[in-house]
Amino acid sequence: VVSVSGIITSLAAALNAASVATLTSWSETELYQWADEAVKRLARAAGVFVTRTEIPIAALDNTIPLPAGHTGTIHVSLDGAILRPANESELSARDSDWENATGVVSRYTADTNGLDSLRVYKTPTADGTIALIAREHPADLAAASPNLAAPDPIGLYLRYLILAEARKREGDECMPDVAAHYQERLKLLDTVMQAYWGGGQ
Amino acid sequence: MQFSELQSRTLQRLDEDPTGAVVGYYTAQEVKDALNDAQLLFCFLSLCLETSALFRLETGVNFYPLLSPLPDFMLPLRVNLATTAGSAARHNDPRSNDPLFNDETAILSGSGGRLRPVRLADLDARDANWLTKRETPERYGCLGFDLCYVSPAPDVEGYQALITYARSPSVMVGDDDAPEIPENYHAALIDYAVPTLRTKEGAGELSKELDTLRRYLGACGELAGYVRTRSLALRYDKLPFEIERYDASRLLQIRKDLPPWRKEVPSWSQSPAS
Repeated sequence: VVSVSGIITSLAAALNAASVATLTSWSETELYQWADEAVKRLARAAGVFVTRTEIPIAALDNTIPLPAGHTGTIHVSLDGAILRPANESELSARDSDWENATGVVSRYTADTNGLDSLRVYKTPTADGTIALIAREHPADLAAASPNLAAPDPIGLYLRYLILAEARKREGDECMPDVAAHYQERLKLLDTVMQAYWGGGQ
Repeated sequence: MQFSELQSRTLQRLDEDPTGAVVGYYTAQEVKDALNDAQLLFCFLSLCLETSALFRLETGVNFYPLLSPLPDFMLPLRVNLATTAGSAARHNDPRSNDPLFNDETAILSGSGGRLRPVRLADLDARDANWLTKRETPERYGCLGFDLCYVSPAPDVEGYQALITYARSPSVMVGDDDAPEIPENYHAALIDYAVPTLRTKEGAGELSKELDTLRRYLGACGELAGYVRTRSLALRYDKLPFEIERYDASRLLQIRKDLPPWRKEVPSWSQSPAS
């Protein structure tokens, strides 16, 4: 578990302050916001945060609400049966009345109902459980929820992004060249994480 | 090299009191943090630390979280099927009486002690019912840092996976702690810590230390090369990042289009090209 509060406390010295409370150009809230942005950016850049969620689906319901923080679907199954991805034109070509068809579920599509839900084809006639494997970003980071379940190197990523954003900020303690240096460190970590865990969105 | 000596040498390079008795521009804690970060990044880039742990496989379960049972987990390197005794399954497997049974044949035949890596898409393509199949596990895969899957799911109790994985180093706290990376690379940690600490002084000071950061990345690449060769020989499933192929030129120089360079050499002061 990465302790974001520990990272922020330790960054006070790198930001020329004795403690977080004595930071002059930034507030603790801003540092947490940048940590949160770092996690969300990383979730888009690399396939680091992958979860498996079980979602109950009722008979005659063909819509699967996606969990909060969902960034990309990897795999969907219903009660152990694999559902293949399909787009709307494929479903239309397969079955002209696909929207009303009921029976054995074999496909899912992300083309309907916007970005926050999936739809299955055919509409199931019995209750079941969808197992969704997806890329997600974790819950928001803040002073009240300062821990991130992630391996230790993710802590380095947060540290670099916070320093890059802090030093980029216009003001007396602005150091744009140092910010650019930390951005380059972030790019290195992006590349390494993509090599280890695959691409993101 | 002990942690205290690393701190002392770092402070010396920063022109501070090496004993730490007189607190100057850098605090003892930020030096410690920088050295710990140096070791963490070193291990992440080179995958030089590995360990093995037993992982219980449940009957009928395909998916497992990894980070909660293995908090120092970074990447899987190899997974073997193990018995409850903790030894690789092939040692207790009846097939081990067969003189031809070894790792090589196991991998070729697809049924043996070692679980081979596989993607979900490949499992779907091979067998649409793999999620409901119950047999001796043969394949495994990982998604992200936390989600691991095996296929088929175990059919009986008692299976365990012996997972060899690249791990994070322990945080150095006490003065007599020592880095876990090979001893001949301990000095490389100072090469990371000094430029990192210098960043709070601005680009002028940082630029003087970028060569040491280059040396640090060189040391990472050198050890990663050794680990890669070894991993290939051991047929590990993940190899270290090829840092020598990464274009670090922008990381190792200060951008000339940003202050203070821009102030020192303004474009209008340069003589026009003849």
